[in-house]
Amino acid sequence: MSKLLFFLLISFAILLEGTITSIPIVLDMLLIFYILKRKSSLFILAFISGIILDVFEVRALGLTSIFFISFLFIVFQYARKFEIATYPFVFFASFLGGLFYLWIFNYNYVFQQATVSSIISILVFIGLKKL
Amino acid sequence: MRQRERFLFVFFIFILISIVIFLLSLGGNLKFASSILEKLASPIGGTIFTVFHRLPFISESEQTKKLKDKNLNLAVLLLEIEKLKKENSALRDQFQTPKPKSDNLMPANIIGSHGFIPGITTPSNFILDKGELDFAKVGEAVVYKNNLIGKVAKTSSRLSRVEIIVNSSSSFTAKTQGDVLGVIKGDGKAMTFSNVLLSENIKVGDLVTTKGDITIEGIGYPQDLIIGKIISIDKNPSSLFQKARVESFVNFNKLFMVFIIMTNE
Repeated sequence: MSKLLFFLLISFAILLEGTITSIPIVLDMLLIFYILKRKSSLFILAFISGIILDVFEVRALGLTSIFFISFLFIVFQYARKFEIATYPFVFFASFLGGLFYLWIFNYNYVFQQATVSSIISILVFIGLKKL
Repeated sequence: MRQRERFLFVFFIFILISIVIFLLSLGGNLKFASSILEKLASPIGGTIFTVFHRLPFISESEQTKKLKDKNLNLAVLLLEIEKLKKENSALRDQFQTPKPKSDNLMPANIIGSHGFIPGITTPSNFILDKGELDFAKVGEAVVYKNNLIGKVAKTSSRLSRVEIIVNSSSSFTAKTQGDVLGVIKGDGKAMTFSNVLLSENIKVGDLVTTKGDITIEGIGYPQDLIIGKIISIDKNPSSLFQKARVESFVNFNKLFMVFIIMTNE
């Protein structure tokens, strides 16, 4: 059930981010899934979703995957010493991740989008935690 | 401990694969694979983009659309009149005006538009359904009814990414209808017409057009494409330059199709 839900959520996020918005929602989803499941298979999901986004956004293939995988690795390293399933962590991790993502890929409204991205992360985190 | 090692192993494998794919892609060795993926992505993106823009709270009324179109046509007309005036004047003075180069326009559908709030904030870029297979090239100007939309920033086999003129990384030379030169810089929402000498006379409502930046290969912005109109002026007597805010006539959120000005090669 949770696998199907994750699949639907990430597919929806990829389609939205690939076509109509630049808010880094795929990054948010990967972060939340990692916090909730902590499975190494998430690196595979990060890789595939990065490649699909690169195709949709006409970037050099692999660039977004490198960013996603590196971001998850930093979260993984942080999780070894600190608790990550907390609201402040979700907020700041998605804010900082989003900020770098938007800056690297040269989007407008970087701060506003990173803030909205953090709010989305918190909402998805609350929603999935209750399930 | 075992789980940590597994994590590190999977991380290294996939970061390595990503780096290899990235390097191969930069070298242009993955064109066939990306072409297949783009063939799948193009109709999906196009459908989602169209469906989204047909939503009742996003699409604009027919009357507003007609008025905006009329406004665009009037701006084109005004520029044509100014141009004709100048041509007449030049002919009177026995100067020959250069024959306008016939531009080769290629229609392209927008299949992706990446912005903060879809349908509300100005997007950063557009994804078009034309790529290298259709002879689209990086640097080519993209227009809609004589209005400059942006330039092709990246191409792949079947798609291309257009950097919109209001994007913060966009910067090029421009002139007003009174031939005052300056530099247009995007700031994400509108544009700034800067580096205008303080002695020059610009006023609110003046049309701003491209000055013409064409490379030897014929790629770039042709002359006299409408960028927008001046909406406010920032003139400080102690500064060397004055600057103005410029707003485009085009609502970038409502575009479905644009035209790429192809080079003659």
